[in-house]
Amino acid sequence: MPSEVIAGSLPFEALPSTGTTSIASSGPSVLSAADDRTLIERAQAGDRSAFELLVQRYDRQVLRLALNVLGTAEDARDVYQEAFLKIYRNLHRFRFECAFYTWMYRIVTNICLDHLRRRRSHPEEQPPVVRTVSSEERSEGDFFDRQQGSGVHSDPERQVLGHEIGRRVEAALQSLSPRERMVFEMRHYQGMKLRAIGDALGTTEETVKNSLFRATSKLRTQLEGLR
Amino acid sequence: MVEELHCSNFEDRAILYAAGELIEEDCAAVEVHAQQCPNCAAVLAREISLRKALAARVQPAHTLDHSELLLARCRSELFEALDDAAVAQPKRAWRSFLRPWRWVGGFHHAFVFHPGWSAATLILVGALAGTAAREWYRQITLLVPGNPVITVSAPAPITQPELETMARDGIRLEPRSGSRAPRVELQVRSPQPRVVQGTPDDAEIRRVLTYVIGHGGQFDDSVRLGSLDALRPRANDPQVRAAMSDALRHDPNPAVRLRAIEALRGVGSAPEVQSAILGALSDDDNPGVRIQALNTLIERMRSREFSRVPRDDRALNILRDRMHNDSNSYIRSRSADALGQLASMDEDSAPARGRHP
Repeated sequence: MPSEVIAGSLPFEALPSTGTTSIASSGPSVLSAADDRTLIERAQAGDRSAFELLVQRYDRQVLRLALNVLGTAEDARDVYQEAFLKIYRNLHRFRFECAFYTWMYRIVTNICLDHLRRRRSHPEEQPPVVRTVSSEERSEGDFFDRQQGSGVHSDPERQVLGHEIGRRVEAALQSLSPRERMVFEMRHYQGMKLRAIGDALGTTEETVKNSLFRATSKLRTQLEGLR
Repeated sequence: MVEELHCSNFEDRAILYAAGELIEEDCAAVEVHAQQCPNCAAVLAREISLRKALAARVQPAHTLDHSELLLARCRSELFEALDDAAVAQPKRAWRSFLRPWRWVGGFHHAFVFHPGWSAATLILVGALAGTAAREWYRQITLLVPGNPVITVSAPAPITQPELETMARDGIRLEPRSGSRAPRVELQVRSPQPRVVQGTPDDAEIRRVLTYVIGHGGQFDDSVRLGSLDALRPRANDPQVRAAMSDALRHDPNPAVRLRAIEALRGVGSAPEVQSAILGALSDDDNPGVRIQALNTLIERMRSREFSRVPRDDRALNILRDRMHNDSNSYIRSRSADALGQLASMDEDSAPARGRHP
């Protein structure tokens, strides 16, 4: 498939709905409606506003990935900054041999993997398990809500159990290797297809599939007894 | 070609099924096999259940950046870093232009080989010198003792028609010790030269000065700036406050608008002041004025007085708009910070309200 056709689309099953409109999608200028290729070419020619629009088009997913994988705002900010500065400095090398998002995700995932590996070698840098639940999320309900369709707020025991499940899932995810963690995050929470994950990680779909199998097996063991 | 489905390879296929990675045909095969084999049906149920449990996880991205303030902050920091990188590059290139022999050589080349440029430059220099010399001469003649000027001490009997037709020549402020208002000496032509003297405590002096700052086209920038400085100690006076707010909205010179915001900083929660500051933050085309307006707004929001007035939705909307749309990265970042602080102030005040219904 020629890159012009796929450049403007994402390999996601469903993009996360954030409730806000990005500047890139609502701006009055013609540039904001341009496809990736036009923006990239203009950014390569030194047009800062074109690069800013590219950033605004993709940075929500990048920050979300970094927050989910690394679990702290500080690390996610570092990843965001490092990734987009790297993209800016190396944009002139991008030759449209693959889709822009693939190239971008390759950079982002490498930086995330570096962070995870560094953290593994320094266990004291593990992030705290995120337990705060916003009111909006509470209204969506936890695991028991989804399973049985009844509110948890009236039942403190269920609320405690819901928190316990969240804590155990988080702990189980942290037991995965950095690569398994990335694969699992990109597949389950970013909704990317295995082939796109393989492209982003610079490996084959088969290898990604094996990582997914290993990750699932580990999670199953860790979460035994929850079901 | 997909591998044939057996009990031995069912688990891997069940994982892909639960992950939504199988095509329709393979999904059907998995379902048919599960119906025939109770063990494999249990494996499939286990995978689906595991996926549901994982889907129930509260994602850190939701908790840590639900309102997207972190995203706005990241963007702002990135664009600032890009600005810094862009500035650093031309700096190196400009360094060579600072060498004097380059300039000498450049001028020599331009004027010798382009006589038209030489003529244009001479005309421009002549015009500038003529304008500046005229102004300088007028200043000298006004300040020489014994010149035929009329000095009128406050209360100055200047009528409204005189105000509307008078032209300015200069303003002089004499600071006085303690907190007393400065002595003002305003030199005007209405139509004859005259000097209006007094302090902003005099109602007539205030009337003239507020007229000056409210009429940007009629008076010089320096006179308007001087008048604003003179009136600053009386900024709480409703007439002065209104004139300063008006200058902030309409003065053509950004330096005057900036001085007007500074003068309005200490003024209480008057609606016209708040409105003028918000207008400057939202609409002023000068980033310096917008930054000053933003800083003043944040100061006002933090002040004890602000906590007693109702929540200003217009201010919040403008801050949100600036956070996303302002061309200046500092304003985007500072607006995001301000919104974050306001959110935390709201959270802090919520339990307090609960304790004291």
